[in-house]
Amino acid sequence: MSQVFSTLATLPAGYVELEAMLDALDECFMLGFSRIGQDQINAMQAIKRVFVGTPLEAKVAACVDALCRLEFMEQHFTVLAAARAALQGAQHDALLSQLGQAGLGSATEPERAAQEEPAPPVKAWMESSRHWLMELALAGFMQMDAAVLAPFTATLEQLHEEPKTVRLGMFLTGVLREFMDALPVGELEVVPRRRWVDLWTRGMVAATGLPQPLKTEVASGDFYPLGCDLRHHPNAVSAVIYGVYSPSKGKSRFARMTLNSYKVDVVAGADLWTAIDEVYSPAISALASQKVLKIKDMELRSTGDLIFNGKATVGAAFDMMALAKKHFEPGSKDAIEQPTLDPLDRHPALLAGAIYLDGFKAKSSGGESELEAHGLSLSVDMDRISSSSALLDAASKNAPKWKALFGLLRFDQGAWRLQPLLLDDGGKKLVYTGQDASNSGGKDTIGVLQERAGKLLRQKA
Amino acid sequence: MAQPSKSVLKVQSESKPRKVAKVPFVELYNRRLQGVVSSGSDINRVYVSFFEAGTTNYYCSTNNNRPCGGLRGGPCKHLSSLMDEAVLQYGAPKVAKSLGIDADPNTIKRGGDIMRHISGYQAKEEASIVFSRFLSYLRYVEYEDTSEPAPEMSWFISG
Repeated sequence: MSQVFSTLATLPAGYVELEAMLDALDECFMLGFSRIGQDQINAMQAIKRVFVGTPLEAKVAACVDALCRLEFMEQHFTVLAAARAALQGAQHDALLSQLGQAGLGSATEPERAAQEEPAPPVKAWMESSRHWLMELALAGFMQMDAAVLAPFTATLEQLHEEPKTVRLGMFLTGVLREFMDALPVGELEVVPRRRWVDLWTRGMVAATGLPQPLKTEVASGDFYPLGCDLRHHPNAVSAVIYGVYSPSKGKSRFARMTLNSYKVDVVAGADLWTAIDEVYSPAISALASQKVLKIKDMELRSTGDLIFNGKATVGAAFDMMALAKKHFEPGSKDAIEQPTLDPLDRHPALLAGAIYLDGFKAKSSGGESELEAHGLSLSVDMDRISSSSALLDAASKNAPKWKALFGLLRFDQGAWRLQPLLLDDGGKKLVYTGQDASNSGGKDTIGVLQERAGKLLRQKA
Repeated sequence: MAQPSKSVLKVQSESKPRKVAKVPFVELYNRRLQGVVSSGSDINRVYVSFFEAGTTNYYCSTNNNRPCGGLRGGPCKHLSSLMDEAVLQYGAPKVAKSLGIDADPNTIKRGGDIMRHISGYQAKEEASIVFSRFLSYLRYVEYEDTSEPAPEMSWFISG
């Protein structure tokens, strides 16, 4: 086996130092900016120094100096979020560069199309979101309570209704829900500080500007699904189907298709797929039955994202693992370019390197599995696998028997990790999230809820 | 959670399947365990019920504010059902803690275990408060789906 990933075992230059600076900054968010002490002032001043000689130098300096003087204006928190996001974006790019050097090439920079200004009501709701996040930062996560969290529900409802802020609303709903469920924070065994500040940062950046359109092309041809990254919180499900797009004319390319749906908490586990609208059935059916999806006139963005448009039909069966091997095995002569992220979306935890592996050494112990492949040790990141998926159990054991897998190289807490999407664990069938997915029929839960609501409305009238 | 600096973490414990036809809505919110319970006898009727944290006061009425006839000196069967479903949704320890019930966690496994600690009184309240929470909840079922990329959703893998 090649040792092409051995360079990944060394963290990029400056990574560890930056982590220490971020940890120190994050303490401000725990205490609350209204309560910072000298250590926190020092931490912010260190951040200010990092930006000297960069385009953000003046803004970051003004922001840090103001916050150190306990002068609180919303713009200081937006700049702080932008600065923190920029630092993590830089970490992401350093990691991406390492992947490139290891042969997983990518990063054609996505090109932008024309900019858009949000309409007045949308602007107001985004401002309200930023204001809420500022209040949270002032109070501090350790002092978070229902009084500072609950009022945001009204703005969230507006964000849900507006097509341009569905994505922002979906994310902030998960954030609010997680914070409310964590109360009282004082009684948590461990407070996930890094995670919470990452969520705060992401929310603030997203509430400052809508995603700007990227240059796109029109895609028609075949989309071969190779696996599904299923994300969800109690009020939304977002399924990303990773695969290969084979145009009617031209070479095969990487592509992924995202299906998002709001949901209620009671729609969970095996029912998650039923939350997704029936118009997306062909995509789900193709994934579940290991068949190609024939697509027509779909928007394909320069990040590799296909936007499902309903014009798709299920085609013939194909060998998922063989296709994954053909295009995603390190050193393959048919290697295709890796997915990229819009620069505003870059964070180490959102990096995803598509990879096929076989011939690896692997072991499982205590519900965790670890592989050694191409000179790199990779633990399977169980936090990335939905508990609704058969993969969660399969990936937790019997690793020495695994024959091959297709998945995503991920990075979190200072280490590369593996998120398997498609696994040949030595059993009769391939194991993958979505292997039994179906969103047609089985809408009982939702039907019951709508019927009950109807009865309440009739009574009131 | 033993990894304070990991960013992608599963943070919710998964709920167990619920009897949604019986209890269409249950939530822990604003120091209450509250929800909507279907009538056992009349298919056209629903009840709106809640428990209050700390006092463990409770109430149950139809949506037209008619008190539940089962509230005779103690919680009615709708309140018991609400408690059972809350335990399926959130787990017994969390429900007990949210109600401010301070008991040995080993003795709190099921809805009935928590009901034994309900020592409060009837506390009449307008049904519209919980009813409007239920309608907000239901809106989530109505929103249109999208196919926009959402990389930040990778932070959420539970619930």
